[in-house]
Amino acid sequence: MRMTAIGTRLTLAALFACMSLPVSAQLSVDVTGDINNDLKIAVPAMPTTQSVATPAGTTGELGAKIAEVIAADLKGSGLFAPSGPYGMRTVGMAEVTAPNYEAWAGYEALVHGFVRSSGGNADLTVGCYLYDIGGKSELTRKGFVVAPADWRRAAHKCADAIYARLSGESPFFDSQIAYIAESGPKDARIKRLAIMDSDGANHRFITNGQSIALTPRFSPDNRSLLYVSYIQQRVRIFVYDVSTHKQRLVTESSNPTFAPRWSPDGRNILFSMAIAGNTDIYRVPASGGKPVRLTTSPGIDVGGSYSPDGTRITFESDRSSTQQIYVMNADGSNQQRISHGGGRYATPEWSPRGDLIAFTKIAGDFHIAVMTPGGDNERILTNGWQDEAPTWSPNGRVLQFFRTSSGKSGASQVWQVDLTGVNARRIPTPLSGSDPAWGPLLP
Amino acid sequence: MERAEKIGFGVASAGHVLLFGILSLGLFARPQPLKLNNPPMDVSIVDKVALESAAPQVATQPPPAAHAPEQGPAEEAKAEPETPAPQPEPTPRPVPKVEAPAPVPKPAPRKPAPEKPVPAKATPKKAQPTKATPPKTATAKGSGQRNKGPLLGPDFLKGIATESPSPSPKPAAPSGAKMSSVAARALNDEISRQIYPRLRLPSGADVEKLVALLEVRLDRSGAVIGTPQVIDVTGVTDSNQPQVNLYKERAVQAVMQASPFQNLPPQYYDQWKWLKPLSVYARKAQ
Repeated sequence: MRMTAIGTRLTLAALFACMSLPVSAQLSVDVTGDINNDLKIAVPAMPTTQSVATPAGTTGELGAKIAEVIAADLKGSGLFAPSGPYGMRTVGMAEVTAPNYEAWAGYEALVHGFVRSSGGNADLTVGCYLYDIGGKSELTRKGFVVAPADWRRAAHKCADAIYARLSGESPFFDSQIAYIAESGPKDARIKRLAIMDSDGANHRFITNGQSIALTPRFSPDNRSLLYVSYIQQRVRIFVYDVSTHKQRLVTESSNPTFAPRWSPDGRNILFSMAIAGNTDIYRVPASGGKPVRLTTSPGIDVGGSYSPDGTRITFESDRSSTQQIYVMNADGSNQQRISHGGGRYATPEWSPRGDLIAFTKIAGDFHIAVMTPGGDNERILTNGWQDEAPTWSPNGRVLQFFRTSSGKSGASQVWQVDLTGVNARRIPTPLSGSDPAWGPLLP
Repeated sequence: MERAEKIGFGVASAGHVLLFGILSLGLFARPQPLKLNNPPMDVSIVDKVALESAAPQVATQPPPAAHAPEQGPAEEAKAEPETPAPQPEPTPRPVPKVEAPAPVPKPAPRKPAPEKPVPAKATPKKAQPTKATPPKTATAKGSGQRNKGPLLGPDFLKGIATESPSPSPKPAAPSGAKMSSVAARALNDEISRQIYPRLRLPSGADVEKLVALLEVRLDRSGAVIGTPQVIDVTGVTDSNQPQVNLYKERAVQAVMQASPFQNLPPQYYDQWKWLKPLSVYARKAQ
């Protein structure tokens, strides 16, 4: 009897508990935040354990110069509002790993670091730290050992680490650009092959101007440059070794030959050649050999660019009466048109990330634009009078191209824009520049 | 004892199953009389769907007793929605605070309160409307409307849906009773307003397509309990993939930095203690 009563009570209790289970209400809330393009980052000069002389200056001086390069890189990305190093308080070594957050109120992130060397030609050790001031926490840290002459690379690497941590993207500052430096009057241009760091520093000419150099491309291992050389009627494609300064011939023809491109594995080279008015795309082994013709349609097929996995090629063709963009398999099969918007399309370049194809959109003026490999989501990124020939940064988030002015000189300059289209800026070059080609991230 | 327990649990389980079945079949649902001739009425268009719509509520809902000033947060009322005891007496404010000392981490009510068998009969009916999840789910999906974080004052709910001149002081009126859609929207705006300045969303292609859906639990002081959970991120494309983790991190960070949330009306604690989803959208900066 008693057991039954207890049982009943338990049952009721359980039932009651079930029935009275409070179903908590959920409240849905919508918040819209601004995409942050001006994260305030303090980049004070980096201290040194002991200021010693190196061929690139004292370690104390290098601490300030490295901070300066980092701030410039971050600013150039268009995503941040860095300050420093000049005019900022001096940071002691102890603060590098234990930052005084209160002293940096007004900033959102803080870059610290140090420079250390035993002097002379001994390697530099550069420490790099990123802190979240609001959260009072360390976000990332890296260390780099470089020869004194390569101190800028340490700065780029540090900026890369910061950029990657704060943007989510892969790094790209520590890379090089090849381009065609132009000088002289419009009808007698001297076009020289030149390379420089991604920020325009360490500029040097590769060719002397006796031949006309065009459309350079860095090899995937960054060691050599592929380009077209014209001397009178001779058209040749060379591979130039950046470290040995030697070049070798890939192909030579009396037919107009242009737009060479590496395959992602560096084993093959695509180029376009016009024979009797019919331009097609060919593939040739990078070591030289017999070219294989990949396109056969009448008209102009030009400018192949491999997908990062090497299985497909995007190119430009006027087979449908106007310039459009096509995609085909790497062996030339299954050629499909992907551009269907208004206007004409030229110079397609497959992103190293594989998600987009950049191209020149010709609709009145020339614009730089992107779309997916399926031809969707076309977006115009620039609004110059004549912007053309995009090249991707190693992380596939930034594009460089050249912009030609509408004046008499017709001078062109190298420009850069990121995929949001809002951060366009000119890359400083000593002369006019065209045909930029972004190299891979340096190791 | 053991046997009694077995029996008890057996019956309880059977009861659960039975009840679940009955509720699923909707046997208790009252058929809604079809009224074709609706008189014209004023309609105010709001972009949010709240727990209940404001207009029809007046007639059916037991008014939450007009003594706004002292009513205070009925302590743990969520655990005993049937509360036969008339009204949470005009107790001074601090009381509820003291009452909830330990169980901060989970507001999960696990208080069976077995000592009130009688009202249990009435309970199912009462519990059901509260359980009317469908409208809530609809709310959860939201209208996609993006709020900019309006500038509301601390008394933003003043005069909204809480007033009810009805003299009949019905018993129920649990602390977190129902809110009108307007009140819900005001609450949404207030929370949004406090998170907005802390949001620093990463830049990148297609980032504006991302939406982070968080689940946030708040204690009575408005402080976030634990860490907000990211339920989902929508709008992911090949292009914005690199930003997804950063986006989630920034969204969670902003909520944590906004904690404790201010100005949330204690009488609606049951409504704002569980924010789900808290949707974080991105807008391109100029």
